[in-house]
Amino acid sequence: MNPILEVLTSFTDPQTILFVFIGAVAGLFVGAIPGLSVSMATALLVSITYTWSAKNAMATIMGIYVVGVFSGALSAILLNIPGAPSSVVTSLDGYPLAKRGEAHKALTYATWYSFFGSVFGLIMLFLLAKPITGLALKFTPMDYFLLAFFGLATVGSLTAKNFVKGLMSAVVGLTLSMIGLDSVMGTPRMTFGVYDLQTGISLIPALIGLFGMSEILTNIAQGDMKAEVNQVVRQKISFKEIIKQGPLAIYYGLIGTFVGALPGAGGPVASFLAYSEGRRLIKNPSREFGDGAVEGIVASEMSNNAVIGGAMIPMLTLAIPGDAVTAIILSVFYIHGLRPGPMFMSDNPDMFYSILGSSLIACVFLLLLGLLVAPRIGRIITIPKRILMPIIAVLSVVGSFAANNRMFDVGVMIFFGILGFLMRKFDYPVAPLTLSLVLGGMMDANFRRAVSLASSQDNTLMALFGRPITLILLVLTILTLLLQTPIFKRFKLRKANHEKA
Amino acid sequence: MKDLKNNVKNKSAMNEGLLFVALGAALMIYSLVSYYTTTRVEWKMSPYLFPLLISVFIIILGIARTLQSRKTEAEITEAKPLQIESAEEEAVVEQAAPESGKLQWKTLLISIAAILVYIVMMPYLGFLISTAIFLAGMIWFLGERKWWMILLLSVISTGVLYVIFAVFLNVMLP
Repeated sequence: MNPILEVLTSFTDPQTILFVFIGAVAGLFVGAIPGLSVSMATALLVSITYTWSAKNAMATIMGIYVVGVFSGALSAILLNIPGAPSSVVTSLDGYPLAKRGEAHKALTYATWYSFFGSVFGLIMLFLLAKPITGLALKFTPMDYFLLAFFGLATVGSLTAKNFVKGLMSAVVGLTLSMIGLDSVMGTPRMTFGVYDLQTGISLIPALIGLFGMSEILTNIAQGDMKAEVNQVVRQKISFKEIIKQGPLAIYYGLIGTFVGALPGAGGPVASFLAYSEGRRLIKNPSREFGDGAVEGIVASEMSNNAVIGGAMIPMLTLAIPGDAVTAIILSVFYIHGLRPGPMFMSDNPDMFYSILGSSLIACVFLLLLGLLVAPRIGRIITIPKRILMPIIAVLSVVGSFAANNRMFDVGVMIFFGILGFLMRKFDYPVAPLTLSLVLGGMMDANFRRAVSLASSQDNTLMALFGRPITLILLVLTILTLLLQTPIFKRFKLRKANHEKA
Repeated sequence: MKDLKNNVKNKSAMNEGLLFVALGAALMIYSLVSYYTTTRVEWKMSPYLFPLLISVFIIILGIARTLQSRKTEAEITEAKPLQIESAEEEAVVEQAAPESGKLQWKTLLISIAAILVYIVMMPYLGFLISTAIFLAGMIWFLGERKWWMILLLSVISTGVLYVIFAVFLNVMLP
């Protein structure tokens, strides 16, 4: 039967729809509540769905995955507390919008473009699995390192009006990411004898602290507890207006899909890259980026949902997970007796189509839930601060405890909370730190692998940098760094003034 | 150097920069010491290579930040691409400066202390009790005065959180 029809038959199966729905609702909650992550929920699902059929298990998992990635944007926009690392970038423009009372607008854009992003990624999965896999495989450790480095360089520039501060933030994150057992040799680094530090800084408590607790502390420090957090203005946003972002969104989708296809790189990297590209390419945003530009939300949400489709590509074709959730999905496959790999699509075409179908259904639910439910949830921000802050505080504590079941993580959370608070006080951007915390381990391991691989070759320098992909990435990174130096900026400014005269 | 000292318009930047340089130096010392005192691996594969490189980077950035103290914060901030045409626009931009409200040190410190107490108490009093007490205390402290509101919210929130985390997700709360 025609493959497209095969996929669409999932829509006619009420059982599948039901299971996806369960996953979708769960995903909505999990993604939105800071401290609960999609990976955590998926991991739990593995045991819950043990006795279900493979098809139904996958349906629920895709439901949680697709909607979960989206709903991270909910708390990012409403509370400036990203529900997941992928949503950090969404908060950069989403929260300012919410502060202006335009939360509804932000949520609407986030919903639509999460929807488009997911669908786009899935289409890519359907059409281009093979070529993308081929390209992703060509990435050497050095390329991974450069990709991460490029990401940090761009994020350092795009979120800080002061480039040096941005880089400083990134570098602090890198340093913190090295705490723990070194990934290549297993030697403990910077643990100073503290046993609990051997696993390194757990990402979720750090994020909760950096965004959640620091938000609480900042709010408390400002006083004004009688105030409501924000007004919410109901806005009518025409579909046409939303579509206008379309063309550029396709570019973001490509970024998301491809980054998702790179094993180990996922939502955060994709959304940062897309955002920086957006900043670079859009000359006249509706508002300043970082101050409430919907274009920023478009970039972030489109790409981080496209990551879903992208991450499935290496998972299905090579049995290599594209990100944490797909790693867990792999285990589900094995439990149910499926074997992902190059033969997967030819051996189990119906499973493949049913997964695609379930994912598409999940996208539809995303759209429905996002458009209908999210604005209601948006009312949350009208709760007075004095009530909201303590509740979020408890949520932060519980959430960071829940990640690894130890009180130590709560301490980590508090540390990052205070760190985040101080950074905001002194006007240092928090985003670069977040990204480098996520990427640090990957950068380190890949760098060492690259160096050791190259040193065994004859011509070290050539071996290190000689490939086309590597060269492209290298040039991009150097350019980005150079463009930010004062010399070049003065040149640009002078040119602009000349033209004005 | 003398030129720098006389031109310090931005003391904060200088302090931050110097602090950063100190951090970088500390990291560098740590990396080198660790490298030499642990079982030797080829330097290329040593786990302390990366921290060393980072420390160099930190020192460079620290110096850069210190050099930035020649300008005030406003001058460093990148000029917005959208040209500021009129004076009114400029006034609006100035007002969009970081939120200023008087810094409530006392409230802040007490809140942090409260959170710490809450965390320390949890293993002893258990999740339900300590959370309920914490919520009630904080809500009151931050300004709510309606008794029934405080009690209602504390109890319900604690209950909801318990259901979500302990029941649904099987998290072993203390």
